[in-house]
Amino acid sequence: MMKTTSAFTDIDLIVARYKRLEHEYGLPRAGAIFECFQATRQPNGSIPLGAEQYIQTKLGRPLAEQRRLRSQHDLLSQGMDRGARGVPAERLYQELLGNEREALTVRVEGPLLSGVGTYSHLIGNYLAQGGYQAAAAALMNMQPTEIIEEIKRSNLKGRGGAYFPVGVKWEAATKMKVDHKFLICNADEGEPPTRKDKVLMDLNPHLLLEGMLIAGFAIGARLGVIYVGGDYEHSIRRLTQAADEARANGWLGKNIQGSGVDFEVHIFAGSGSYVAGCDTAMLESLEGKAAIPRATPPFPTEAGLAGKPTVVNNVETLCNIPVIIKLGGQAFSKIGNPDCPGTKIFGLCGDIAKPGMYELPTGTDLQTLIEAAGGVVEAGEYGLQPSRLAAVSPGGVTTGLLSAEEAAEVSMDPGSLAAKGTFLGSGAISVFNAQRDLRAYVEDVMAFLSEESCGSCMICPISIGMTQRTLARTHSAEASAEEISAISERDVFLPQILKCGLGKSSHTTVRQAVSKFPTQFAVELPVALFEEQR
Amino acid sequence: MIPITINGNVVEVSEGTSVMDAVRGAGIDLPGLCYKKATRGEEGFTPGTCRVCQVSVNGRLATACEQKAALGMLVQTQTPQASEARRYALEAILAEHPGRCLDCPVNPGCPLNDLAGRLNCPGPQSFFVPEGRQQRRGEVLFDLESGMSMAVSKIETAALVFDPSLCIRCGRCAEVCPTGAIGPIGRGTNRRYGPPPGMEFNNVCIDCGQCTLVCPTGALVEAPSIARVEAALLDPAKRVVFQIAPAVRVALGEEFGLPAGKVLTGKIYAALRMLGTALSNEQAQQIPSWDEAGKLTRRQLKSNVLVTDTNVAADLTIMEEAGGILERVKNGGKLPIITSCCPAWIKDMEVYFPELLENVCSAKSPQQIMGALNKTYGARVWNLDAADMVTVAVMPCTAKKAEAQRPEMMDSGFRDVDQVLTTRELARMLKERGIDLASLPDEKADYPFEEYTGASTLFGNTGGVMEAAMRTMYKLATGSELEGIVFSPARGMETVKEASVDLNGTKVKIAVLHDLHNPQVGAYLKKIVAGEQDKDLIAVEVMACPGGCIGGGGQPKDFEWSTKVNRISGLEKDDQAHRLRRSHESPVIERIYADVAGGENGHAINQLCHTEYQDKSIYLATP
Repeated sequence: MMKTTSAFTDIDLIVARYKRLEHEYGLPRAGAIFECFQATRQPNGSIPLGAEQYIQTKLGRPLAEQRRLRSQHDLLSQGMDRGARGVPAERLYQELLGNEREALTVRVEGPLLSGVGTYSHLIGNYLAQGGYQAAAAALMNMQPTEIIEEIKRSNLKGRGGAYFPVGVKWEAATKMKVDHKFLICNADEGEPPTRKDKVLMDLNPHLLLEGMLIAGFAIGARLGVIYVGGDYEHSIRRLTQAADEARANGWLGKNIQGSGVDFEVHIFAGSGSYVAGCDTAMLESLEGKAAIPRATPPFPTEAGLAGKPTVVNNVETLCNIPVIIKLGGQAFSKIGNPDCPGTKIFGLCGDIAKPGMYELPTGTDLQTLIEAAGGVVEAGEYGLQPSRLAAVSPGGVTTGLLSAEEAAEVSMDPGSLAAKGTFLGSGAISVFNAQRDLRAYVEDVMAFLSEESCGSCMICPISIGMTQRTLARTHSAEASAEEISAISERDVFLPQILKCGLGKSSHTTVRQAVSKFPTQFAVELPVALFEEQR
Repeated sequence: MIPITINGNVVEVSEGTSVMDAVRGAGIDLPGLCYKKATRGEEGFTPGTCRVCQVSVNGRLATACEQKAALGMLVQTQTPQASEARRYALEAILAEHPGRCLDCPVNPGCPLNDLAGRLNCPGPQSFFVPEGRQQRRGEVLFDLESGMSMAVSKIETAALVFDPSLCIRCGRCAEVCPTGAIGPIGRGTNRRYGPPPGMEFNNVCIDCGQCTLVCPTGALVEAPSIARVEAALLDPAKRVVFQIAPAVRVALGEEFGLPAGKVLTGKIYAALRMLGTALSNEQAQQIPSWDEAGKLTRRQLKSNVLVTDTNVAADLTIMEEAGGILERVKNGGKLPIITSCCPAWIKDMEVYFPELLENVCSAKSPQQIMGALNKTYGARVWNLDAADMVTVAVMPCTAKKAEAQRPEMMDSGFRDVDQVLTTRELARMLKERGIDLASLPDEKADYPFEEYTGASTLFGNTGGVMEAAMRTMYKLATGSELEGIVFSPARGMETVKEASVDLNGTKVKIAVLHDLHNPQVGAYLKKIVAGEQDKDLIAVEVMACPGGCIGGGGQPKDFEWSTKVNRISGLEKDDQAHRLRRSHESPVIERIYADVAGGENGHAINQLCHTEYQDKSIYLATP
């Protein structure tokens, strides 16, 4: 028999914990494999053969399968010096955030970020500020159907990027009568330069737990899983600590505050895969498989994790739930843009005077937002000096590019941005001054996608690779106008052919860059070509 | 049953049917490169990787394979949007394909090429592929052990060839691979198919070749043997001795437009003789042969080909195996005894179930027994020098190629089996010669291997070895013949079959397993490893491929369930049509035992028919 070392004791404990979760809540124990990998991973990214063999005996996953699985995750296949998110993502973060990455400067506060700066990650402070009152009200005084009605009345849209009505999603999950349901909090924030969920988890973790408790009660889920990106080590510590505090204070566990409601939270660390942020790919990952999106239908609310009804909500979405319960759905729906009400955390970065997190009502003009952040700047002789706006990426690197003229017109809500062919996405706004080399930015975006595509649907990596090659050829002016217009054609076909958000939006930014900023690509393009494509 | 509308026609389909099956059922052969239909006996697969099967579902594009038919669904296959999207998805695949089709091992007969032709798609127009696209970008992968880059290069084993430059990453191979030897590595534009990182392909792979059946390009094919066989055939100084496996005779016809399951033994013998080089009178010798009246005489060789049949060796295997089982039962040997005819299973056992080394029967597979006999006993009867003989086995199998190359398989003093052709390769050779199989006369195999029994031909299907062994074992154990001759518990396509038999008052149990990809088989074997099997279980038959050899990796590229069923019923008909249906009744076997009793070249019959195995699990994780 294998000699038991301390590493293998870790594996025993992890597997035992997952067995318990499977027994009590139906969470598939196969998901334990990622935690086992993380526990036995060496600093150079390798896992000792003995540990691999022990995982094989404990979880029944052959060596060959384990190795394949690891090769699809950054954190499990590479040395730590390579960065948790892979080289292209690191480069984008560096490019857009500079040294601000870990700083998480909060500039403007709203209900979501209100406790920030008051140590509200500690439950004492959180309770003192009126924390868990919404949960108490929901659990004691409301029926699940009433909560869902309230959420529907608030017209809250999912903050992950798709802006799907939250109440409708919840209602769909309540239609099924089964033994287990799951609430999953999507905290795998992978799109550079987004950090909004990190702010919430690091500085206000109890707000998330409170939101999850209410959501779990409303849809009838007894277990909530927080799927956090593995590189957010600090967030994982904060969440774990917050969950322990909540459990000790009776806000998690059995019979919460005497209401008869049971709810438990399980924190699951991802292993470095951008696609895992797509809801169906996340389910695969939780089942211990590679993060490859599923075909829909069936939607997760019908058959999600382990085939059970599952609601997947973003961190910011869930943090809005206590706010709605406190304010009332009607009042909430009056904040900001009526089609997508509420406040939204916008992360401003790039060539901006005061980068940071700004919580403002949806529908705020982009121009206002940029002014609030001190305006566009460039590096000058004596430090930063005002500059001219050239382009804006409105919600993350895959959400397209706005020209300066368009940026002056739009407001930050899904509808207004969609009219310009862009998306609100995660709300991570990158501002570019006239000095920026947009081609270099777009090339970095494509390099990011080329590494992060799961690569399962053949056409996705092939198209990305071809586009990368064409972009490289523009440097020596070798790329023909037709070849560049083929990039735009990809943005027409891929959304029809592919099943996941990454693939569908993979060519949005590059297409808008080549059509809106042709001079940056050193080619003269016939305008008619792009009019036709639209 | 639920009604859905396909191109304006209402069709009733059962619940859970994919739109793909519904559309194909309605008579429209929707294109697709990664999908496989599920049948009653076998799971299908839907990796959803090729994205070619685009149809309009309720006005929106969707892949037909991933959508389940729903009440009132409106499906249209021929909208401008759908056909454009199908073409675009195909063009993307072609954009990364080398497109050197004349140079391809599956030309003609490449599904990807056929599809491009069908969709009038001359190439990746929309993708502006520049010159020199044969060189694929980014063959670099990360090695998990060292963090260093690592390339997947062409892999050649004794059984298989994997050429990553032809791979379109559809993922079908990974869906059928029983061991995970081939599958996806990495992600994004670096996603590749190959062996698991840090592992040697040949140490993980068991050579079954199921991947070569499903690969839609020439990326995964059998290791080529045609050239070496041709060289021998063209040399008048060589005598090429063919043997054909049971499963070949019911499948080769498919390559020539005949239905699956048609028994073509006599015609294949004739075709093999036509492959040889004509011999002049000086070159040709006389060999013993039966005349029309059944009298032993001599005939002159017309070509340098002699024809024997693996089935004769299968009869011999049965005699050795049935004897072996009874001996172990009597003497308290290691039980259950597990069959050893399937070389893919043997490798699987050596790598993944080394605990079962002693359970496996020591009898060689029929191919190796036949090879050894040909070069010893056969050489004596035909008055040949074994050094001038080239033994060629035609097999439904890729693992047989590797088995023939095992270092210990030299009991005749030479390589017992020199070359192994798959059924597909033989079809290629016959087509190259322009031989129309269907029009050939029936011929007989050469003396002294001219007749096989019905029992031996059943070796080609799952349960067949057990049935053949049962017929003989019953006789040996009880002294009387098995009633009704057909041993029905071993028949049928269930993955795990078990039965109880009364052997002279002792109740014993047998089991028949096939399709190593199926987790049920692994679970059953693990039970034996742990010693948790039924205590009266005495014999287990294991075949690596679904359906047994008739579903082998060297068969014509038709992996439909119904084809397998037809091939099996062909073998059962062959059994029925035989004068002799029990191995112990065979006069040929009796003659061989008598003639070889004194040994052959100083080798006892035991040495020619038996072998040993080796624990290979230690090589698994060491590159």
